[in-house]
Amino acid sequence: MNSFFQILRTALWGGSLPDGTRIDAETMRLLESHSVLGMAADVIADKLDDEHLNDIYSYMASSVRNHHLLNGVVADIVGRLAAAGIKAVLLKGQGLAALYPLPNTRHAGDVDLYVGKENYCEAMRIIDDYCGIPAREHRMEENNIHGSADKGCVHIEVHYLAADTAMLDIKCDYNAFAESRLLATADTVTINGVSVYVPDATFNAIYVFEHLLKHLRYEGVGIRQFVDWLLTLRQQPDADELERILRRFHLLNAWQVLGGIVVWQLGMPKEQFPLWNERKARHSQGRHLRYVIDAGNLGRGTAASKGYYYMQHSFRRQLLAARYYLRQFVFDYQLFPHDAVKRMIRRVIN
Amino acid sequence: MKLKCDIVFQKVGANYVAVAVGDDSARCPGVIVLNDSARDIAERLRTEKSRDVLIAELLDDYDATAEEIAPYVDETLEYLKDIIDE
Repeated sequence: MNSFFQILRTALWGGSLPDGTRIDAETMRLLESHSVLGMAADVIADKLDDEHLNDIYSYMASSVRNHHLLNGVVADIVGRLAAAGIKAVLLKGQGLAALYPLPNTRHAGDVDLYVGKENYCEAMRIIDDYCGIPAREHRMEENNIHGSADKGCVHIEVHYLAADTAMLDIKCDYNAFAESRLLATADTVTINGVSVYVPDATFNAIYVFEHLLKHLRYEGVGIRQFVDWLLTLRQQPDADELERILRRFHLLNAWQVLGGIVVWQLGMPKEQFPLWNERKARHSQGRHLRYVIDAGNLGRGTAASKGYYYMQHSFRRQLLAARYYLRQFVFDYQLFPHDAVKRMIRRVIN
Repeated sequence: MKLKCDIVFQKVGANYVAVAVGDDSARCPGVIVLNDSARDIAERLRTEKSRDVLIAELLDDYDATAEEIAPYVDETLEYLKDIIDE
């Protein structure tokens, strides 16, 4: 595991790999299951044998093509929506890739665009037309946060809500807050020559963290999401505002605990990590780190015990709500005991 | 001669992976691995130019003679033949 993080620190902060860094089968498995093989490729290539090197070249070629496809779709859609007077904000994905030292090295996924409730149906109509999908009805469903469409092999999610607050178990006014921030953002990245709106630096850091936390609790989170979070922190979010927002949505404790992984495993200097709390961060070095490493991105790791997925399983099996919440409490208590108790009290009061 | 596809060069260690992207990427399938100077030659072929013009450009930018550069250019052009329109 030490070599795994040595490689990522070198990719993030520059320099060369320290002597003794081992690139063995276990290191390669971790790089793949945590979706960071691309960002590691440039660092490890010169130390690989021919067989593994060819695999890396093929992987990077595929990654470059995927990014090119995704960027083309983002630019096309944003242009069409803008022509219709609809402001679309690019969430996660290609907006975060732009923060990477080598953008094509971020593991490519899908396209997430936020358009808000008011413009959702019209935006979907425009995107359906772009994707060649016959006319269909669009509704904002209570148990969903986005609609979707596919352009070739590119999956597009069009969000009318920013986050699934039920899954995250935070105050439901988070989405109202998110809407106000996203529709007001003036921050942009340029993709294929098109100026594309992205969340402002402070909200982006919180949004990416909240997404990370959701994955941690429900299906397993990859170190790639910690890298995403770290890169949003390099954009210098406003620390005072961060603290206010994190307190408001009961996320500060988890932020300070998991910050330990960003600092000690990924090499961010403590003084650059907003709201650093050494005492809380120390908690991350035991159970939290083990859960993250074992489960991998979306639970891709093979070493995770069934317990890591109990919430997902409980969804699938449609367990009774009381049993579900009790198990959720037990899981949360292991990671964030104070938060778990407070959350349970809030649930009982409500 | 010039590149016949839209090519992206992605740094991977000491080398670059040349990947065709876009609508005509099927004309340049596969992956080509280039060292830094071969990538430089390929980059210069984004615009149409003759072998002689290419060598003249390289002479301006590198501390080498035409006798040293020409064989390397020929070798590289042969290597790049699948992605170049003559």
